[in-house]
Parts: sequence; C-alpha cells; structure tokens
Amino acid sequence: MKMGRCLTWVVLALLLLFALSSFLTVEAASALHLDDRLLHPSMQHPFGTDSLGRDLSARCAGALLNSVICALSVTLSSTGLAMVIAFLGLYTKYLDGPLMRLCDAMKALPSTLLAVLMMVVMGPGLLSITAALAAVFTPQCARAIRGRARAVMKEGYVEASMAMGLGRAHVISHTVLPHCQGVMLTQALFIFSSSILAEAGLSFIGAGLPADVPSLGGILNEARGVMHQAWWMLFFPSMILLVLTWALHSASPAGLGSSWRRKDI
Amino acid sequence: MLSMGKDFCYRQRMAAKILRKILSSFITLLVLSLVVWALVRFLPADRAALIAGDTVVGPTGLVIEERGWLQWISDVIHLDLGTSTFGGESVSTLVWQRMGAASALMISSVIVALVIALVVTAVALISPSRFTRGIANSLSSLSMCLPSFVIAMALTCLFALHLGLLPSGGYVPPREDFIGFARSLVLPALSLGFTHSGLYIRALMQAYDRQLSKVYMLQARAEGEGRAALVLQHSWRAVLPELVTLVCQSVPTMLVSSAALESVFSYPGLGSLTVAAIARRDSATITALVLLGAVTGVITSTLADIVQGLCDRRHGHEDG
Repeated sequence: MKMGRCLTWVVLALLLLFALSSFLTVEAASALHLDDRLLHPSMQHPFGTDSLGRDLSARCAGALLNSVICALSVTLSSTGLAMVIAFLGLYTKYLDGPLMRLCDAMKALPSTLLAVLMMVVMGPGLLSITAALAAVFTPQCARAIRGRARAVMKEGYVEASMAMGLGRAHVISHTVLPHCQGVMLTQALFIFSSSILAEAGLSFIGAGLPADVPSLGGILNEARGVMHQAWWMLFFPSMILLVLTWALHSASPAGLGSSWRRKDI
Repeated sequence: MLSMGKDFCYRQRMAAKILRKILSSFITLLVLSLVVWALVRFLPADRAALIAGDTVVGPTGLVIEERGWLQWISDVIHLDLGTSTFGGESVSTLVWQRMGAASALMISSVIVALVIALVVTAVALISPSRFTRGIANSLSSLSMCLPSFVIAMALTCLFALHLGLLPSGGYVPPREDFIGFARSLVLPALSLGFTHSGLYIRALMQAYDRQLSKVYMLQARAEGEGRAALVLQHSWRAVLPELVTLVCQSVPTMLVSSAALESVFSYPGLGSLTVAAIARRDSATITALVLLGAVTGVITSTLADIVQGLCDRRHGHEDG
C-alpha cells in the first residue's frame, strides 16, 4: 500500500518534469520539417514526428504543460468560488436557498455541453476554458463544502466561539471553513483530474485551446486522420492522459471515490 | 380493514410525494432556463469573431441574444429555437432529424454498459479472489481514466483498420438495411458503453458489498445457500433501485454529450451536430442541445425517484 503511494508520487513528479522540459524544446515543438513527416519513434524523436514533421515528444510535453496550467487555474477558481458561495450561504439564511437552487440547476445542465456553449460564445482561449470548466465544477464543489460546513456548524467549539462574541463572519471564516479542509482537498483533486480530461475532450472537438497551442486533445484530433499509418500519434498522448489521471486518482485520499461523476465528452 | 387503510395511506403519500417531486423539477427547469438565457445573453461574446464574421472564418452563427427572458422562454416552449446557419434550417428540425440515430446509439450503449457491468460484478462477487476483484477494479478505473474518444480510436484501429471486421464509421438507417445498421452501431455502442460501464461497476460493487454484509445474508448463507444464489436471487431486488438511478443518470449524457466519440465514427447523432455547430460558432443549436439535455436529465431523474419509491415501499413510510 505504501509502495503504491510512493510510486504514484514518483510518477506524478516525472510527469511534471516532462511537462517542464517543454521550456527547453520550444523550438522542436513548433519547427516544421516537411521532410520528416510521420517518422517512427527513434533515438532522435522518442515519440516519432507528427504530420508536419514536428517532434511529437516536445509537442506532448508542451501540451501536458498547457493541460496542467489549465487544470490548475480551473481548480483554483472553482474551489475559491465554491468557498465564497458556501460562506455566503452560511452567513445569511436568505441567500442559502437561492444559491443552492442555482447550484442544483447548474448541476442539472449537461456539463460538457454547458462548457461547449460558453466556449462558443466566448471564443477559444485559456481564460474562456477556465470560466467554462469552473462553471461546470463549482456547483458540486460548493454543495460538498456547504454540506460539511453545516455539519461543523453544529459542533460545540463553534457554539463556544459564537458565545465568546466573535462575529458570525469571523467564526465562519476562521473556525468553520478551515475544518472543511478534507472535503476541499478531495474536491480539488477530483476537479484537477476531471478538468484535464475535460480540457482534452473540448480541445479534441475544437472547443478548447486555440488550434496553434499544443494540447493533448488537439494532438489526438490530428492523430485521427493518420492513425492507420502512425500509431504513435495516438498511443503516446493517450498514454500520458491515462497515466496522469490514474496517478491523480490513486493519489487522492478517497481513491476513485463515490463523488465521481462522468465529465467526459 | 386495517391493512386496507394502511394501503390507502401509502398510496396517498406516494401520490403526494410524486406530485411534490414533479413540482420541484418544474422549478428546477425554470431556474435552469434562466441560467441558460443569462449565459447566452450576458457572457462577453468574442467581438472579434463577430465583426470578422463571414469574411474571415466563413459563416458564423454567433448571434447576440436580445430577447428578454419571458419572450425567449415562450419561444422555447413553442419549440421555436431559432435558425441554424446550416442552410437556414430551423434548429428544432435539425435536432429532430438526428433523434433516431442518437437514441439508437443511446439505447445500445446502455445495454452494452449494463451487460459489461453485470457480468464483471457477478463474476467478481460469485468467485471472489484477488484476481477477479482486481480485474473489476482495473476495468472500472481504465474506463474512468480514458476519454471515450481514445477508446473509440483504439477500437477503430483494432477492429476496423487491422482486422477489417466492422465499418469504421457512418450510419445506415435500419429501414434500409438492418444488418448494416447493426454493424455500424457495434463500435460506437461498445466504446460509449465501455466508458460508462466503469461507473456502473463501481456503484454495483459498492451496493452489493453493502447488501452482502447484512445479517439476512449471513442467515441465508448459514442455511446453506451458495454465493451465486445470494447474488443472483436474494440481493438483486435491493440493488435494483441503484441500477435504475445509474441508468437514468447516464441517459442524458449519452444522448447529448458524446460529441468527440461521434465525430470519431462520423456518426450522425446529436454529438456530431455539436461538433459541426462549434465549427460554425452556431450558438443557437448548442443552446437547443443544452436545453434538450437538461430537460431529459430532469425527466429521467424524476422517473428514477418515482421508480425508487415504488421499488422500496419503506421510503413512503420513512418520511411520513
């Protein structure tokens, strides 16, 4: 069990190193060599080359970095927003009902199509993909944090701080919300791994990052046209996706927990 | 006499519960329509694309919504969802044309997912060992960690390109050629079903584990029932509501959110309509699909709740 944990973190660290290595190979990722189209994997090109002669390993590293940046910004913005929603709901009873209704309505919308709709209206780019995926992931995160926080609100120490005359806002932000760490961490990990998959899916259908920015979904979309002759275009990006999400899930405390909702396209 | 009274009470309570559920889903739908309308109306639109419009990227369908919510919602209720940029056809006709193919895919994928999940769980439970449990766990993790379109492309590579057994894409209407229809459905249904089966396996395993650890199971075991009888005969009733909920949850997703998968197989369902709409930035069509998915979701979840209430009569008494 401990071995497995260790291995997970080693894999995650290696993937991060691979992603950071893209800073060294920016040129290889974008330089076109039309003579070297669709080369097999070799010492020079460990993952082979794509249909425009670019080095696939460099492109995958860049794409992985973009995915991670994207997922990080989605995770931070949606957990932050969820905390604000939970805080408001706990602070005033009048906001709690409407906010939760809104969250339920957002959860009832088909998540991927909601993201697609927002992407189509706002145009491709990192900012719009962050907004779109945050809109998808915030409601359930807010619900989870609120649920835990409401349980914490009944504890004796919260009552004690209230009795000491500390303000309601102070008690919620200093006593109640810090006790929801566990839920937040689980939710953050879940959002991180789901948004990596979601970003890949959106980029695959052309509603994600712009076409000139490398992304795992974009590379897989290119692979679709050439997969009968270039298996490596399909194999390496999907392996990176698989290993990354698998490692993230085994790293999360709940494992592939019951909070899982299919966010795939 | 007494039992009749009880039954009457039960029915009344059930009816009240169902009515309440329908009312609350109606309110959810209203809030939801407000959210969708606000998104289309107030999101900062990509002005550059709007101005560049048809001179640079071809005809774009991005329109700035100017109707008020009441006007918009009444248009939606009258199924006037606007005009698409596909030759100026109305969006509702476009969606309706693809409903057949989309629901064929949805139904067959539900069947595939159910078969995979039931077989794997039954094997893992009837002959429990590290090996069978491991297979169930890794299958479900695999299907959760891989996007559906990767599975779709892998299956296409194997069955269509290397073995040449099945068509790699396209769709034949069943009225023309039923065998061709079935053959064109196999790969899309397999990949979509497999992507959803992971969730089913996990939930089923949890539900069965909960059931099998109960005292009445121990009793049955002590009376000499085999594990197979426990799983197949005694506990399936208790697991059924869980299964119904799962299926009802995945129906709307399968119907409208399989865009990437359908584009791999060039399958003419609602997903490939989405992809085409993205390319033309046709926000009217995507709004219609979002609404369709939401309405299907609300209907199926209401149905799931009703079925759950009917399956388990205790529900009616518990909150009364």
